[in-house]
Amino acid sequence: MIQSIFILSPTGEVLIERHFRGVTSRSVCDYFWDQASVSVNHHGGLSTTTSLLTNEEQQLLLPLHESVLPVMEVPESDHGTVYIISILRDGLSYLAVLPSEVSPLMILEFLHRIADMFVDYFGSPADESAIKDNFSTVYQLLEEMVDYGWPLTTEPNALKQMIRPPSVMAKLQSVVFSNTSVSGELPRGTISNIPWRAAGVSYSQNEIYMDIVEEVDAIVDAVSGSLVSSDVSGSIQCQSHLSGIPDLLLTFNDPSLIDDWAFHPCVRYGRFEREQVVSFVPPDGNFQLMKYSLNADRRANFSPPLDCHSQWHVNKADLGFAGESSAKQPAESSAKLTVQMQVKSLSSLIKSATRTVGGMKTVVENVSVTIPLPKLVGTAKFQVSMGSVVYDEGGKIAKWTLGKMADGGNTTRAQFTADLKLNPQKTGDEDIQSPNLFLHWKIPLASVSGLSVSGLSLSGEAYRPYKGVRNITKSGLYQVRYS
Amino acid sequence: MNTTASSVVAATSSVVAATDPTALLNTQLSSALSTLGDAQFWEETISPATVRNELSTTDPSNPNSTPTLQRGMKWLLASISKGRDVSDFYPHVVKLVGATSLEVRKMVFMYLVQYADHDATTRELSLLSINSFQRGLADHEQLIRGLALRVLSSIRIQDILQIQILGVQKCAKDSSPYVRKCAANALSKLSPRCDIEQRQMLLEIMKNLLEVETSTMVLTSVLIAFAELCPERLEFMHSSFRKICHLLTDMDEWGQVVVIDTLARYCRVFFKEPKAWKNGTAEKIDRERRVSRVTPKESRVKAASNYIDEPEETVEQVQQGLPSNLPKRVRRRVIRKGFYSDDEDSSSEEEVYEGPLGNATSIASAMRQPPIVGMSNVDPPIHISPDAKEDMELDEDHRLLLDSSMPLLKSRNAGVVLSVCSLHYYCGVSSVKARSAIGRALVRIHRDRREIQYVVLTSIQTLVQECPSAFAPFLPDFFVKALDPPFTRLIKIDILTSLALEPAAIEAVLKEMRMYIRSPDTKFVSASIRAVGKVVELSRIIYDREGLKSGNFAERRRDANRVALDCLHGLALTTQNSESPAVVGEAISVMQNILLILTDSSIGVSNVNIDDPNGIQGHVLRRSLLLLLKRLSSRAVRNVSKGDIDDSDEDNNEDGSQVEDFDITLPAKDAAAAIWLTGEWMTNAYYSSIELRGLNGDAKARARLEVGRMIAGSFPKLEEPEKQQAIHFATKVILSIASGTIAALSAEVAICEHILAMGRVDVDPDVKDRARFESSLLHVSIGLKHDMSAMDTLPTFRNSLSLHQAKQVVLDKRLVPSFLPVNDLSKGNAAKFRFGTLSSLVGHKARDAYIPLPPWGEKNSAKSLRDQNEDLSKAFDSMKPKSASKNDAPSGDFYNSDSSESSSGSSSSDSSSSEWSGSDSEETGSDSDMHDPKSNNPGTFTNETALGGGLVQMENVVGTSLVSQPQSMESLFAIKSSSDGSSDSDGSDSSTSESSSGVDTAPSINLNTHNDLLSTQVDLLRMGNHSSNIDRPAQMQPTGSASAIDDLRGLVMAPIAVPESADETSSERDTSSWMQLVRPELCGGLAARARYLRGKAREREVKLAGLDPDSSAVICVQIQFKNKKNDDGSLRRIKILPRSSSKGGIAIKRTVCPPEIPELKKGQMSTAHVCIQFTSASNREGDMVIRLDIKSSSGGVPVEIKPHVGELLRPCNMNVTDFDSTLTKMHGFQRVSASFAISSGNVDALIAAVFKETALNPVGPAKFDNGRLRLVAQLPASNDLVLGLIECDKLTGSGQVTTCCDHAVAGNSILSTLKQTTTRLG
Repeated sequence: MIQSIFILSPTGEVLIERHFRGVTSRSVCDYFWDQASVSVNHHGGLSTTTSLLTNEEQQLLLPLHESVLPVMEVPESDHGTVYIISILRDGLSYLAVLPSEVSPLMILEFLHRIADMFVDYFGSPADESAIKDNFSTVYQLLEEMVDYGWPLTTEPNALKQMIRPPSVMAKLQSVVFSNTSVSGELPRGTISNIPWRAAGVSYSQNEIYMDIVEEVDAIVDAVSGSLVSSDVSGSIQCQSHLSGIPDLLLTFNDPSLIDDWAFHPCVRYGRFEREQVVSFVPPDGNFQLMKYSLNADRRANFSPPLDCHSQWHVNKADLGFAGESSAKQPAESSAKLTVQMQVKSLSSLIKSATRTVGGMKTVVENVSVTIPLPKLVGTAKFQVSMGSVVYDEGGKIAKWTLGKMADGGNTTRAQFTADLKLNPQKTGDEDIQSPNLFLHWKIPLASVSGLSVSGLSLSGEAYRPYKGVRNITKSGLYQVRYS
Repeated sequence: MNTTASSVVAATSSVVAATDPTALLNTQLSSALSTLGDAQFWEETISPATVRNELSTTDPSNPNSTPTLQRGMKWLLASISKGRDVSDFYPHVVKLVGATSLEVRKMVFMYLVQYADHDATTRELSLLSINSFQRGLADHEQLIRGLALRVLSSIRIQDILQIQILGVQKCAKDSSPYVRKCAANALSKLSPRCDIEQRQMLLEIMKNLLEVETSTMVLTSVLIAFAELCPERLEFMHSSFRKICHLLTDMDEWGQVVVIDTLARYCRVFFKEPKAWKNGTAEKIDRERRVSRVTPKESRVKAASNYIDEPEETVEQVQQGLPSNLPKRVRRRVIRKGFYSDDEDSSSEEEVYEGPLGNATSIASAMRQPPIVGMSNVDPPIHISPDAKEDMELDEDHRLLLDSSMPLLKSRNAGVVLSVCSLHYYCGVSSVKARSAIGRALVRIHRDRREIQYVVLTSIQTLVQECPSAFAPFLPDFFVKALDPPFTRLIKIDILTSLALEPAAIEAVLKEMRMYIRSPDTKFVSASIRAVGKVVELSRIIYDREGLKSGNFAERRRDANRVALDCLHGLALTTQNSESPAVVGEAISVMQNILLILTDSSIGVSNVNIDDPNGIQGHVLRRSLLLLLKRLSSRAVRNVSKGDIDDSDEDNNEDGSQVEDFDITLPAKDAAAAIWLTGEWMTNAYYSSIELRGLNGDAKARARLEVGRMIAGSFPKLEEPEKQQAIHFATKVILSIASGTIAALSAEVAICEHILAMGRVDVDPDVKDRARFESSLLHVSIGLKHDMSAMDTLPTFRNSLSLHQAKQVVLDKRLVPSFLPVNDLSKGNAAKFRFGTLSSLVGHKARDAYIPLPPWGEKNSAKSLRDQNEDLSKAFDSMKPKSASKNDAPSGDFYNSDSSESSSGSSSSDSSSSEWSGSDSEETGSDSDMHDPKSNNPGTFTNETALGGGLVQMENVVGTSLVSQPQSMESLFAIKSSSDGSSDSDGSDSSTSESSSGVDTAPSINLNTHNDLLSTQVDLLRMGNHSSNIDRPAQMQPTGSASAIDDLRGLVMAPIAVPESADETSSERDTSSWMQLVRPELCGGLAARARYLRGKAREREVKLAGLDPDSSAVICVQIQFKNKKNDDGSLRRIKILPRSSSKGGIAIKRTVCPPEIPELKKGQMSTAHVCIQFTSASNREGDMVIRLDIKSSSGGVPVEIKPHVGELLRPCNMNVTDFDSTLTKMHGFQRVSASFAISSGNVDALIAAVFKETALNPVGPAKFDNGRLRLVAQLPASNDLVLGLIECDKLTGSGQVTTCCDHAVAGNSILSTLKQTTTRLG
């Protein structure tokens, strides 16, 4: 059970504090912040300026929390020893203060669920300004989501009936007509046995869309271009606009492609165990129906869709190979980074049936490369044969955007060159590391697993909904490692 | 400023992202409107004084003031967020608890909870708000009730504890599951402040809820309360154990975590340890695979037994030619299990039942088979059979728990998955199936966000030691990704090394390590280097093992050596390339160990020569020598000139320039390792065989002298571990050259003795002891000659130890230091905690809330523990309709079939219900409830759950039996024909009731006999259903309230049609007077009238309809149809349909209409009941409106029934004295009265009429007592008392009617109802 929840801004300011079991003093946050900012050199916390990184990468690259364990002990605070479980989302630190033993994973999940809810309510990113701008809604959400430190209502559908998400219209109304953001009508959904679904949903057009998304996390060797390790995780994202209480039945062509499954609570587990069909009453709106991982064979079949080579060369000035060590003197060094990209064979992917009939080429979309340069880089010059480069001076991050790349014989090789001047290096500094690259790409209408839906039937309601299913394969944390 | 800037940034960036125009518009608008957001409250633009002023002057009940209050409250919340103490606003906020706006109210609640217990003033002021919460508890909206309870129970003021407990008690019986859930949550809120007695009350509430609750939503909270209130009282769970297991998958995900933990402890206490727990198929395989550090004795025993026994036995096996599927023989052998288990002795002899996979070779091959490695679908039969057996042996309930939790491995919530894994690991069987499922699930959830990943990885780290095979297939998943945070990297390295249990895995892991060693993170690199050392050691053991199994030991040993040499080479390169002293030092230490491993011959086979063509070992030695010299020279105190070092460098090393590449001083610990290694090489016979290019023979001797000289020179500056090794070095040198008689060596001896002498007088006690010890050893063997300082304190036994013996002591081969998991014991406490718990992560008991798993029970507890109570509680339920009916609360319908199933034992565990069965069971529920005409065909119900099906069948039989005997029915009812033909008239109605006690006697006897008749019939039909036996006596009670028709109505399919003459005259006390509903001329000859049922009759009908009879939000209307057609035609298909309407009033939650009446012949009549459940009750007139459509073959007509407040009152009892005293206390608006005048003859009729028109109960006898008739009841929604007093002069017929009620409006309405009654009689 959670004693208190704090949300800290990127500079360590307390934005939100909520106590469920007696007031916890803020010294806990100070303790946390001391620990968290140990590795942050400059005063003023971390910068969240760069929009070049995805949220996930950003979290991984941010210096904050490098040295902070997600589970931390605060000895001898005013209330005896307490424990802090923390997460970092969109630059904000969410802290849950625990007085005693409780499943840490449950708390972590819950904190993430709260952060998800903020994204759901305030849009992405749910950062400092979003929280400040909506803080009364934040408090109301926390009030409904937690009761005496235990999670209470966590289903978005139920919450949205209780607390209206802020929208422009609502804001206008609140000014003009002095309406409130709390829904006047009390919800029914919370008290039914399908707490995840809002009651009394009605649409004139009933439709449900499913995206079978497969994300590839991989490590690719920068020199040889070979795959060091790869991991494909799939999920089915749904967007449901169905009236009443529809009961859906989803069947797959070949469930044996899948090794392991995880479901939204709306899915009937037992039915799946027995028949390998997914039977569920969907929540309203967007939700993730299930996650899955591929079986080992399919996973092993994957080969990188893009060929990416990079070369890194450092010229340490005045540092001859046989000469005396002169590292003690500051020296002007330079470095050169070359990256080459080309579409490789996409044959390892299984295309959706509809497209292959048309004979269309599979296209790799949204190709981009994020290059976090070493901190020692002083100035940088970029040259590209294709696409464009954006460089974030403060974060030393370059992003090379290539856009669409088609599969086929005559693909051109795209090249990126960066000439870097390095700041003088002192002894004791770390070696200049060759940068690791992050690749982003998306291939619509293809999948690694070949998982496809064979049917989606609806019962319990009279209408016939419009159904749409498509496959997407895209990069997750796709990393080119220089080794 | 800051915020506006950032919001602009956000806006522009999202403009880019937005694709569709509406989103674009939205973002533009929102940036324009950003000033309207809450952010303004963070700025210091509003002064506290303004807020205070606004809050104190605004009238909270005025809806127009909402924006002002909203602003004020938001400002207060923002102030709290900013850490400002705003408790001084408390008086102004407290009075806002009744604000009209829900949002304001919620913010007020938040503020109150924050500051209620702040100081004495706020405590006092808080008491003012309590009243409003209490009112909230009686609100008709369940969410308001829930909210009120939540806030009320959150206020931590001791004075109101009793009120809080009472509130919880009340809400625990609420009809709404949501409110009950809040009540369950409140239990744990109150308990810390309770004394023993009060705690007991809470426990009782909890136990009762645990017993009867079937709504998963509530049950989850109850179990959480259980975990907080009395986690040790596991015996409370007996009766609900099966129910919980069945409903486990339906509970909310947060509750599941807690419940599973509790169930795990329950399981340990009440079931005995399954044989397959520590001895399952997977466990056996893992036992073969696991590697732990062994003492040499053990390892010899094992190696010997393996090496010598195995082949013989294999032969034996072949000769015997036993069938391969049976467990064949029991072999005694040594098994190490102490490492991971909590057992005290680390090794024991154990009987191993050996299956077809009896010998080690075949188990090893089984390991590589898909079921473990691939963990996929292709289970060879060999594994299925033991698995199945493993499950069979469990107690039925134990298995139920394991089976019902298994699907939750597929939960999206990592916390749930981990707790299920924990349950199966600590309480399940170690079958291949279970273990692989655990492994797969954990690997899946570890791919989550990094914080989650951290916790999951630590759990895997613990588990992988015990069951490596479950994770072996996922080796690549644990490769370190560049962006992994430091804390997960180290764990991953640990997991990787634990998985290096096969040649292929070793290769892969080492390949990864090679990569990691280049990382810039020195801590990570050091850990990787250590891991390399561990893998080398493992590889040695594993290759040896394989060699023993396959017989080509020497070859495999060579492979292992090759791996070791490769690693040595890599590490030596690292010492050259790395610039970090820590890394280089770590590499030196690890190289030392690897060299030791290479030369280790303790495992009882003849040494295989190390094939080292590239002289890697020599290279390593040279590196360490070089690094040592560097270190020593930097520490030198005496005038060791630069030239000297250069000389020695040149002497020792041809390509000395390497030294210049770096400027590194080793950490003391690692320098000590280098001294040791150098000393070993220079003195030990074995190492001296290692060729070092250009450094042999004399050169080596010179080098040794030089090293000695340098050590002696720098000794005072060395650190403690180095000094110790320096002393040891000196001893070794002296001993190794003692046999030589060359005088030139005496200089070297002198230097060494000097080192020893310095050691003997060192300040560090450890160093001093070491030096004194080693000096003595030398002194008693060969005698010290040169430097005898500080030796006088030591005893001398000259020549009592021969040189040879001394050499054996010092120079003999020593044990190889091991990296293997002995270290895990250093974690100490952490290992004792279950994985995945907070305590295991922080390494100590997190406060006292961590409850260790109890040991397994001695034996399985009796099944009846869980059975009996089940029956008891069921009997209890059926005897107490109150609690039973709660189960049937409408929203609990989804699980009706579940509860019936769990109570009927787990016989049909596979039917629809153990999973969430959603609307399927809803349908079945309502089917059986509504007596759908279709159900006349029993065939449609063949697949129903047992209870439901039985009920319907029973109804069918009764229905047909009734149909087959219409004649007898008619005749029976004919007896009851009463004198009043025109029952429409109110007057005659009242006259009937007036004389009811007298006139009814005769018919009621008949009724009873009839009842008997019927009930025997029913009894026969009900043979199979014992629960109804308990119902019967209640129906049989000659209270007069139960009419035969009422009894039967629940059982027949449609209301029966009886001749009109057989009018109903059952006890009229339980009904209101008739109201005309449909005039015959409007509906083609169909006449309908209606009246409300009360008391017992209502209760029965409502129960039959499946609604909650205790709820005042349920209204039961009896509708009587008559065929008043002018011609002889019959009316067909008369039915009642609910009509939805958007018009005001309280929403209807559920309407239970009777099935249609197939036919009503001329002159016949029929009665039906409609039960309506509103979402809540109301005290106001006209809030509850029932709108129905009555249809028949000849047309339809809409009707509207509006019960007045007097009708909706709830019965209650009171004695006269109480009544009078209460009455006198009611003044002012609480009390209203009116005068009336009736004709004196009608005074008695007045009494009857009053009871007819209102649901008021008489206080005392139902007659005028001194001209006063006292009446009492409760308001339906708020349960406020309503007192009525009718004073009437019997002679004049004039009098006064008074009603007293807290609720003024209701009081007025009731008064007007009574007044109307009197005027009608007037």
